Amino acid sequence: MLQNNAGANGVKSRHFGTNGSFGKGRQLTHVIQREHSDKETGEGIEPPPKRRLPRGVPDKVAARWEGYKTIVHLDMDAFFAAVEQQHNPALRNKPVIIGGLPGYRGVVSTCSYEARVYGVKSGMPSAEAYRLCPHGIFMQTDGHKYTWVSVEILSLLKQFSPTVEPFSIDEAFIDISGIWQRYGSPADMVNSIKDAIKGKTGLTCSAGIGPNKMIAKMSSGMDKPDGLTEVHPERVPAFLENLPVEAVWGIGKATGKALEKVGIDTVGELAKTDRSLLKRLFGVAGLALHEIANGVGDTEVTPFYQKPNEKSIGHETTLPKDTASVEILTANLRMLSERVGRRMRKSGFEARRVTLKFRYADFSTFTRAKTLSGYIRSDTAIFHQAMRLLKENKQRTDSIRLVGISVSKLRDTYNSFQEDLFRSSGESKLSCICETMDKIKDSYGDNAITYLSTMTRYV
Amino acid sequence: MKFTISKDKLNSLVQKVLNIVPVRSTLPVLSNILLEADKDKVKMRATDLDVAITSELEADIKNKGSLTVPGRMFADLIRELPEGDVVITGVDKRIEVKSERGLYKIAGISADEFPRFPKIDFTDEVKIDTDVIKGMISKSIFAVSRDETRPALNGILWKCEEGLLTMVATNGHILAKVEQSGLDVKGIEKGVIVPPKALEYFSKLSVDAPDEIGLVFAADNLVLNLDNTILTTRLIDGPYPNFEQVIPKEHSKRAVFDKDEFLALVRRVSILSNNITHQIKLVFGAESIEAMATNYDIGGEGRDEIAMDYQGEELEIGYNANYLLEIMKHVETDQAVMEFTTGTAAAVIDSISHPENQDYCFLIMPLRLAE
Repeated sequence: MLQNNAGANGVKSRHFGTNGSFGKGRQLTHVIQREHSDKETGEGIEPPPKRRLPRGVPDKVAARWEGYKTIVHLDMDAFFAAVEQQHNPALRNKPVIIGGLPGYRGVVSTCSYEARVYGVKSGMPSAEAYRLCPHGIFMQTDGHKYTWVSVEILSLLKQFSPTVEPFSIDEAFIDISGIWQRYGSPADMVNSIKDAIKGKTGLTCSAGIGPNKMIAKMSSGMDKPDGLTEVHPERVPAFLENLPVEAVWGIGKATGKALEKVGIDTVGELAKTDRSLLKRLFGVAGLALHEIANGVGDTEVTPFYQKPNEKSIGHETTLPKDTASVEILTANLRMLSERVGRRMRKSGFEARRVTLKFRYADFSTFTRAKTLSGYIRSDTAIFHQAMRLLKENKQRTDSIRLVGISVSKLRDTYNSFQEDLFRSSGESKLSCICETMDKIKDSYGDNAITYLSTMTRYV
Repeated sequence: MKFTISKDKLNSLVQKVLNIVPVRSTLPVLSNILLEADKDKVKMRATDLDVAITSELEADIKNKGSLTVPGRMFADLIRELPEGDVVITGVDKRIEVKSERGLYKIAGISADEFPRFPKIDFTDEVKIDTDVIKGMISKSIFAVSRDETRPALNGILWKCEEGLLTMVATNGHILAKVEQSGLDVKGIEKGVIVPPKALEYFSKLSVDAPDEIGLVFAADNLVLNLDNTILTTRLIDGPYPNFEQVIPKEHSKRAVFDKDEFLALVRRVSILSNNITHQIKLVFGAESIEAMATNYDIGGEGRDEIAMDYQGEELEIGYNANYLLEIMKHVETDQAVMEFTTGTAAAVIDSISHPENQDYCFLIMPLRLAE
């Protein structure tokens, strides 16, 4: 839960393209739960009140998980908004909308369930949220507060299992294989975790239990808020059968549309689709989709103390105002490369590929990338590549709404640094400057030092 | 075109130029070898547009002419032919290879499509001892950078002033400098950067090269004249970084040790170093060098030491073990010398003495471990 520091003005640090869509197939939730409890309790009782599987599941049910990997995915409910509501009781039971303020530009980062009733959603422009819910309480993100709570929760999770993988500021995977027995059943253990989080922070979360990370993640979104969905390995095909393809972690709107075009609407259909067709349509990613649709997924929970196997590190920002000003775009790219560079160095990586994302006022979006022949680790090198990509690819003069930078093709530096004979020029010197800036930021905070050009981004 | 030549001679000629034929090329004709029959000689040419080779041998020429043939296929065929004379005939755009009892035909491409070779003016040619030039190349070429972001470092700097020929190569982490006096190469007072490919090939070829080779620097090219074979290579645009400036003029610490013992020590300990950074830590103390390496990924570590003669404060310093090994291999005396100023600056590695007329030294930059 530590990797992504949520920043100010609605910058939610996410790797590009991993914004999976969840919360779909809500109607299915009940069906699955009913089948689930019918079979597992074996007595055809009415489904228990939502959000709680019965405690003390009979031994033979619990025993059915014996020998399987048992992975839990925890997702905090409306995390930023819930933290604010806990922090200030006056906000409780009120529509709280975190992100850009409506007078300015920006998007909704998170909103409380009270605001969702009005149709407000994460990622929606704040102005639209204001139209839908004018009496909503709009607040800017307070990264420090959320990070602090996130760390609290993480330390709590570590008490339950040594294998906890923080996945974002408000999500984590926990491997409870071989541990849940102490609590009776996997569901009992997860309920204990949920209770502990609620007791310590007052926050609720939704959980999914599955034989791999994919299934766990998909099931945690089934029953929000404060839910628990358990998908036993043997029930995986039934679980996936009628889900819309977009519920799959990794399938966004674009892939979803492409699948729809060839007549694939549900995960079940995807599972039965010929692998060669998927490969033709999506390349290697198509084969991965086929595996996911058949319930095959990664079971390796990377413990918090191990370095996550990051593929890319990126930040993006919606500008306060659409702009065509080169100065403002430059300043924002400076700011983004500074953040990306710092996070990359903190995780001990250097990168060989820089990707620039920009979105015009009409929402047409472009991403352009360049692979370099050598590895870079300085903010300035990232910035120069991003500027070059912008100059080479921004063919229109209209205003830009959003810019983003990410780096990929990462390599572990093992914290060692080869000194260069000609350090007065180039990357070697720039890296030294960045490392010094990092040290200052570590001691005095992220705002203690920055590039002058970063500071001019609102002018 | 028609000529007769013995299989062995033909094979040696084809093998010489084949090395320059690029494995893949966007220009199909570059995969071919150009054959030219003229007066009493047969010439073969190949190029990858950076390096070009021309090699010739005497042959019994019946008809003049020229044609290009697919290099690798032609070479494979000639190698497998039985001993004896071979008759090569160009018929339209095909080449016929006739051995005593066999007949082979290969389709070629017209010689007009082959890139033109520049005319070389040999008036400024300088003759240099082959072994001297080979020695200088081998002492420097290993330090050439393979990183394309700094193109000037992708070659060896050749510079000749007042009879002193200097070769320098560096990748920014290590540097090799070799100097030979008593040579007068014209036209490179300001220095030129020679890409390594032609030089590597020259070192291979020169096994049966004449005692002296000819050098010509002309119009962005270096020409190496090995009598029957002429190698031409494009030069890299500079400027070359100011290497003089980074060579430390003074030192505060000096270690003298047995080169082979040190090589063995680094090899042993580096087995347990991280296999990406190859980091090895050296501690220079009053009477010994201690070497340490750790590889957290495999949970391994190693520590070992050898005796040595050291003057100066104790020094703890990290290096890429591969660089140390590469450099030490080129130290020619039994004893090696390492000189330092500080733990973050370049160290000078040298042999204890040098042959007459020759001087060389190597630099290595430390691998710093971030806190």
